[in-house]
Amino acid sequence: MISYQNLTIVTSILFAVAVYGILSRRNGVTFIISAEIALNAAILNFVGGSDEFSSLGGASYALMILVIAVIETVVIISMLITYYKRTGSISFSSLKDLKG
Amino acid sequence: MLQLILILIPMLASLVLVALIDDKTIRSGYIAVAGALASLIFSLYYFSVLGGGTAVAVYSWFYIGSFNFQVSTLSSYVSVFATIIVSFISLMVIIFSLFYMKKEPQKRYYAEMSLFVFSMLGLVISDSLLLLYVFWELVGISSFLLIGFYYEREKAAAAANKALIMTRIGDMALFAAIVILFVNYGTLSLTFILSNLQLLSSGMLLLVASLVTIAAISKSAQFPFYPWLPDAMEGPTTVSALLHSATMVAAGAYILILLSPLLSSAGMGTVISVIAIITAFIGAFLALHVVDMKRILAYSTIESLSFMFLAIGSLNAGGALYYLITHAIFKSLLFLITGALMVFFGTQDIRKLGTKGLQNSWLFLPFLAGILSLAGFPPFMGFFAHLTLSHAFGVYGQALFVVLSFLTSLFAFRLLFTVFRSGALPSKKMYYTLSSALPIFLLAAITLFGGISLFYMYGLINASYSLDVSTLIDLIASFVGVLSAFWLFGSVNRNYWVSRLSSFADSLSSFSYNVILQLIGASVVYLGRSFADFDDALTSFYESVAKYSLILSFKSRRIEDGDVQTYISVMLIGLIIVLAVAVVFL
Repeated sequence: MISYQNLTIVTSILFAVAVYGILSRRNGVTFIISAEIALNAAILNFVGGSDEFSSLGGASYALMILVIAVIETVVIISMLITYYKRTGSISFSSLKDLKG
Repeated sequence: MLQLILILIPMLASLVLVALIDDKTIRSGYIAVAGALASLIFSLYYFSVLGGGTAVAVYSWFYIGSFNFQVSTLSSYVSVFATIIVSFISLMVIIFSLFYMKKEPQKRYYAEMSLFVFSMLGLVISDSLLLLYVFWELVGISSFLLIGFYYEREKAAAAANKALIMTRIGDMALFAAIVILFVNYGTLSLTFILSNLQLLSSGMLLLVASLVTIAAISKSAQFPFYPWLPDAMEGPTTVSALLHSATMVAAGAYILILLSPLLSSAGMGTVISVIAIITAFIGAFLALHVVDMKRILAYSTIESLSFMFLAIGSLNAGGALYYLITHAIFKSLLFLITGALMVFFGTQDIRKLGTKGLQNSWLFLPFLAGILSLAGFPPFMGFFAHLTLSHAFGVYGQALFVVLSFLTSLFAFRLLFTVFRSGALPSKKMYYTLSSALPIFLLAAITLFGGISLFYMYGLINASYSLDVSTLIDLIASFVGVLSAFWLFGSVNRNYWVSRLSSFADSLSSFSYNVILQLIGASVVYLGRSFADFDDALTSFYESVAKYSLILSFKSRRIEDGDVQTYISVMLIGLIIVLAVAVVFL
């Protein structure tokens, strides 16, 4: 049985990896994957907490985050596809041009 | 509600005229006449349904939270008589304008006239001080527009500016008074304030009363603010007829009539009386001096207004109102006749007019009626007005009033004897039309018979009158004035006394007035300079703030480079700082 402390350590590492990915990778797809990892770290935390404190609140939050993550992925990927069609690239470096 | 309709009609007429300003086919004068006529009919109807006493109609303007901002209109006999006289004189003057302003750009003129009427009607029915102030300013603005009607003439434009700027001082004083009253009472209702004067500390009372007095003397052209009024002659004569009788200058006297309880409990009576007496003598002497017919009438207006102020100073508000009504009628009559003479002969110099043989013209009798009323002879309306004035004066007031009556009839009959000499009349020029003859004869008839109204009105407007030995002395003084005027000015040749009198008046008109004006000007300039210095300091402070903000923004804008990942890292750093602070301090 994995203790709650160990689980939080794992999720923290996961989250740190995700943040590193978000900050360092310029590729759009890698960026989305990193964001998903961050969300999954949060979901793991919620589920673990739900088990530890015997409350369904955390589990239901986890479900909601899953749904939101799916929607967010759909939106970002559709935007990336459109962007790729226009510019032939999915790198975030060239996205600077959109600034106001 | 009736009152709102009453004042809105001239405003609508004005708006229509402005909207149709490019339309060539329409006769704009008739719209203005219709507006004034409707106002008159409504005010007469309003008079007939008025039950007596003072009623206040309250309208909610807007709410801020629980604070309900209200405006209210006043209906009392004082306001309804003022409404009637304003709409009646306006109607007469606008009808006369159909004759006088034939060749002018009419729509702008009639639109501004209607605006003028609207503002003055609004002023007299206001109970809320804010409403009063709005209309007070509107009266000032519309008289500015009308005095500067011939704005292409440099003198007219300067006169308009002078009128606006000199009355501006009073406007600021009135505004300050209103602010003080609002802070102390939390309401702007005049009836409430006047019935609760004891809530105000005596110092505040004195302050408010003096501010209101300053406002009134600047609007009504009393000493030391009187020079704007003679210069206002640069406007069309019809404008002078309206401005001098029922609207602009009457506003100052009217507001003092309204606020007379305030003035009496503050003890301002003596101050107002002293100002009025100084003004009356200045006005009378200058009226004896000048040769421009309109200017003579202007100085006579200044003197008549000071009679109203004298009545207010002797706590006789009803007498002041009755004199205001009387003066409005005979002064507009005199101005309309002057306007007709200017149309016929193109001059307003009384020496030139004296050579035309006007004594045989149809204008002579109406003019005589106006002059006799001005000098206060029975049975003309002016006599009854003098009755309502003089009974309230003390001994000194009576004595001064006798002297003033003498001077009044002296300059009034000087005007009459100089302009209306006998001789051959230029036959073709003196035509008359309905629009010129109707107002003049109607006003002359009212001047002749209107005095009877005193016996009906004095109870309603809280005036009283007395016939005693002082009245007789007064009349004798006026009569002596007529005789001396005849002796001095009856013949064409100027005799010794005329030249002495004239040189005395010369010295009076140049009497250090410019020095006073320059002193006022210099102090205003000094004040302005110090404000400007302060302003400069403030500006440089803000400039340095702006400079450093700019530098800071150059430094900080690096993080806003449009790169998503920069944003996220900045956000994360911020989050970490917040968490660290939370961990350390909580």
